[in-house]
Amino acid sequence: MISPKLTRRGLFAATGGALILAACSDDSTESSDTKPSTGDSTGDTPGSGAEQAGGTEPYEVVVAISRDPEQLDPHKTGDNAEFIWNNVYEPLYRRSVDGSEVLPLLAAELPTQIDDTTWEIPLNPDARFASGDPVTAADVAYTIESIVHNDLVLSIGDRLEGIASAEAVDDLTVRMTTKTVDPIFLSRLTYGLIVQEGQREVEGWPQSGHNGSGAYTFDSWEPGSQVHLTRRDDYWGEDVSAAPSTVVVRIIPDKATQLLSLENNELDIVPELSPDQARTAPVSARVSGTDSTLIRTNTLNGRPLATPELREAGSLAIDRQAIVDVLFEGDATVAECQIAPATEFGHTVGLGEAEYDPDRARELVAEFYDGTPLSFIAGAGFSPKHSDVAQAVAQNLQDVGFNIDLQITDSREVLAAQFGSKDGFADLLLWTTNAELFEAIQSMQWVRGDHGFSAVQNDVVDAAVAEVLSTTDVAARQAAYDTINRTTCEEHLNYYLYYLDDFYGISEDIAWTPRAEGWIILKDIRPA
Amino acid sequence: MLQVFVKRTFRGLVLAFVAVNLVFFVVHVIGDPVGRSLPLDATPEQYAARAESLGFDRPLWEQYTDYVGDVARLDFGDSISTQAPAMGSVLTRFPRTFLLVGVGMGLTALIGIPTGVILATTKRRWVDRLGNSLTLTALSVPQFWLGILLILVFSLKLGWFPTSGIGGWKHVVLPSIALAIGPLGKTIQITQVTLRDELQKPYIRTARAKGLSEGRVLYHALRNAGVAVATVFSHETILALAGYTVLVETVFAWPGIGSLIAEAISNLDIPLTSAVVVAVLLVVVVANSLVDIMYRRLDPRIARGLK
Amino acid sequence: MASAILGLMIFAAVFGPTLVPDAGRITLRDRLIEPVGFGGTWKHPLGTDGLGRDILAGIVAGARVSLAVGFGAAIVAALIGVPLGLIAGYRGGRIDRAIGWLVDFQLAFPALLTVLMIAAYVQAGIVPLILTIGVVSWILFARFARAFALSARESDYVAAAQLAGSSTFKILRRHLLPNMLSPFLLLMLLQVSGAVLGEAGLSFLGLGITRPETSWGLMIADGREFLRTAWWVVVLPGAALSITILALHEISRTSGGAIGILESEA
Repeated sequence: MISPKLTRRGLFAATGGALILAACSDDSTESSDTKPSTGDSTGDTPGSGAEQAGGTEPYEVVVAISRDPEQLDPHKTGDNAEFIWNNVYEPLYRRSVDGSEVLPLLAAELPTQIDDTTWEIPLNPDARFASGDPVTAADVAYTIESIVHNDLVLSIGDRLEGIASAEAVDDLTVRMTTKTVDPIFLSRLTYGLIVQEGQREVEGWPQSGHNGSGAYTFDSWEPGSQVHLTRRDDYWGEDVSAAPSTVVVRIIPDKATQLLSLENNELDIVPELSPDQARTAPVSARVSGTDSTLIRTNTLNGRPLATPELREAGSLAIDRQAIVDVLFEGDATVAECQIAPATEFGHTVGLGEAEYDPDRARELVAEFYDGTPLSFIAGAGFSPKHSDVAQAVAQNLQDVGFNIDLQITDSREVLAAQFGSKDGFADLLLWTTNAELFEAIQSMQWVRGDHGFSAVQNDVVDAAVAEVLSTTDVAARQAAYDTINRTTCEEHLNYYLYYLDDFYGISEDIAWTPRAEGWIILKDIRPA
Repeated sequence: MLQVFVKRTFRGLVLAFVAVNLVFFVVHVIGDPVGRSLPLDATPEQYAARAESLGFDRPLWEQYTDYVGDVARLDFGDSISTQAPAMGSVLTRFPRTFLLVGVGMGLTALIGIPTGVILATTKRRWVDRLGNSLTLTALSVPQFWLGILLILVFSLKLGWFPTSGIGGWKHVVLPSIALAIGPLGKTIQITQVTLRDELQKPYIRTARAKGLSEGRVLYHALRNAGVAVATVFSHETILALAGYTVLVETVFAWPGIGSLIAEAISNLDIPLTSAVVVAVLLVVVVANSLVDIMYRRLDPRIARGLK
Repeated sequence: MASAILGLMIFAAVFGPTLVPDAGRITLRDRLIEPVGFGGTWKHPLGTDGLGRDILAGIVAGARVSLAVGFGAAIVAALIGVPLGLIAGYRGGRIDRAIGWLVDFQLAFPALLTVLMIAAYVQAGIVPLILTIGVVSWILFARFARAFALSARESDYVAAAQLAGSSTFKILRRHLLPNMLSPFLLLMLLQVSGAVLGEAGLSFLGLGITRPETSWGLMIADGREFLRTAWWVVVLPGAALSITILALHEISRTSGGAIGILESEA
């Protein structure tokens, strides 16, 4: 019933773009022309003409999420409720809708790099909290410091972990230092939501006393049922009078129920759908290629898949095209033999799709397989259709002669073992990660790095991963990515399955374009 | 009377004590509440920090005594997963389940008892047959499946009612029908059978011979059959209040106590689980006492027998 | 009629794997085929589900799980309840009071809480389900056996046996058990239907049987997603479940006596 979501969607979405921006931020004149107040106007739905209508009738929008927000602290909340806080509070920067650009929000312009690890950020003088107080450098420094130096585990913590300190230079300038040269500094700042200085010490926080600079106020939360947000008419930024006046976020644990409610016009936005599910919605929307699904093989000594021929047999056995055609009704893409599709930085040209040849697989199995059962673990709540994909792949593998012991689970104990000690590793693990390579590498690092051993068991890949994480040189990073992609593909260390867009079901009453990082920014919604 | 209440209260307390021990045991011995509240890729340091902040690094006996002490003061603390006071969640969820059960059991009584009376007194074979098949069907159809069929027909095809959630009266209709189906079958059955038995007893013949109207006769028979009917009916009501609504609540995304039990337990949320379990037990004990009182009203023989 | 249905289900449960060897077989390209009469072919008489699995084969495989859990749990419940009840009724006194207290206790503690707690932490499967459902449903058997032992204690044949110097155990075994057989079997049927429903419900919630195994409750849960476009995925397994329960109820009803047991439950 409870679906832990493992993908950290949008964590460092489109870092390639961010990297380039960061690299040329010294002469950021053309970027800094971007007026902060229009920072989000790219989010407007092309078809929505409602904006010029000005003051539209007040209306309510209902959004479905699968689980409770879990935490009322905007810095502790889980993936699924992150968007709620992104409407109540605001970060320094926010991406454009398609994710390709980082635009100033509470900041006035892009950061200026002082030296390798020091950055200065000018703030927007117009920005105001709901209380009417201006957003000052002291507030920003307080927020960042309280996140990076907090003993509690904050969900946001690892996103900002490259930052060493933040201090106010004057009222409207913040100086931040990073621990090392940080290629994704700017991307990190699209996370930390700015709270007012002293917010954490307010009596009753976080149950009450929310005071954000966002276009919505947090009204109430009934655990297990719904969250209510109300539009602020005194929002400091652009005119939001055409945005929904009230928003209800309904907690509906079950995807089937969400779909039925959407079909019955009880909901306006349902995120995280599979393409066929989205098709049943009155209106469906997609945002391109954020998720990449693959199977990690366990090549540890003594396990059957340490044998290269058996790894190859496994890869040959999987009918990726059928999965894409049938389960996703053609609206996914068979993966090239690497995590990232061609649109992402770090993609290696010319690797092609993995081969499908069950007959050859059968021969290899007959020759090399001793019948040891292969454990295959898939988390049901990872991404749309995970459970179905796992069962289909297990069938493919059984058909060529493997003995598969499939476990589909949402048990956190079982899944955590896949990221913990190698004793808990399954022979096959189905998982979904962001297709953007830097994030994928970070995920791969969980799989191999934190606990002092390599799950990949391949020196070439390990060295290249280390290289990627420690250099800012674009060409060197591309070369390292090429090595990772080529090796994991040719050695069949991972079975890359498909790239899946994010699909949303939307009612006919509203016009809204989904965003690359997956947040629903409510002030961008317009009546249809 | 007083003695019975003292006894009941004592039993309720013992029950609650055993229950909270069970919660503690299950969560600590079998589960890993710290891991549950962390991201999957948490490092051992993060784990240790979280364990400390939640107090799970202390010796087990110390945690146990603290826990039992807090629960004894009805202080369940904040839910681990929502950080909201655990009792608060229980108090918002319970009324919703009360509503569902109230409407559902109301339907059951309004339809079930008259139908049972008709079936017990009818002389027409086809009515009897039809009634019996309907009763049997009601007894056999699983609530959650019926709920889905109701959604298919009345929400998706006809568009009369919403598919899920809470809101106006329309939201209550389908889930309470789904909830009522099993109790309805049982109520019809027990009414029919006991009333039929009762109508064959000598006192009824005597009453008829004395020239009492058929309505008066039926009234007397029904009064005597009442205990059995009330027993089945109240048993079903108490079961529903004890969280057996979980299936219907899941199908209709109804945020009541049943789904809270399931969520709390699967999140290894000790404060929330304890609060829910104690609250449910409390409701069950109180409901059982009410049923006792009702029996005394219905059938003075019981009250006398107990003295 | 009811016996025929139950017989068919038991037959399916026992011989199903031989009749439909490929029960869980996934063929993606055969996804969501309609049943015969609604556009489908005899290759899949009842159509297929979202992964191209044959519904008929799934129902047959589900019968095995349902009835295994149903009968298994009833037997476990009887194994706990009948001895306790017999001893309580036959010996009376302190033992009776102790067991009575246990019954009261179990009655007041909602079985659902116990079942959910166990289900949340124990890896689901047929055996854990049998044990869990069995352990929480022994009360009826205990009450039934106690009532039986109480009445039998007063009866002539037991008195005669006592006079002849038979041991308590021997009396229980020789004289009581055989006499309670037929009402006992009826009670079993009721318990089986309860356990079948319990298994379906738990599997529906994701706390019972999980994929890649199959069960009726699980099939219903999986099919909800296609409710509008492919009704058969939800409707047919639910119908199989309902018919099975119906058959169990009908048998115990027509055989009489079951109502008496129902009343004694209350």
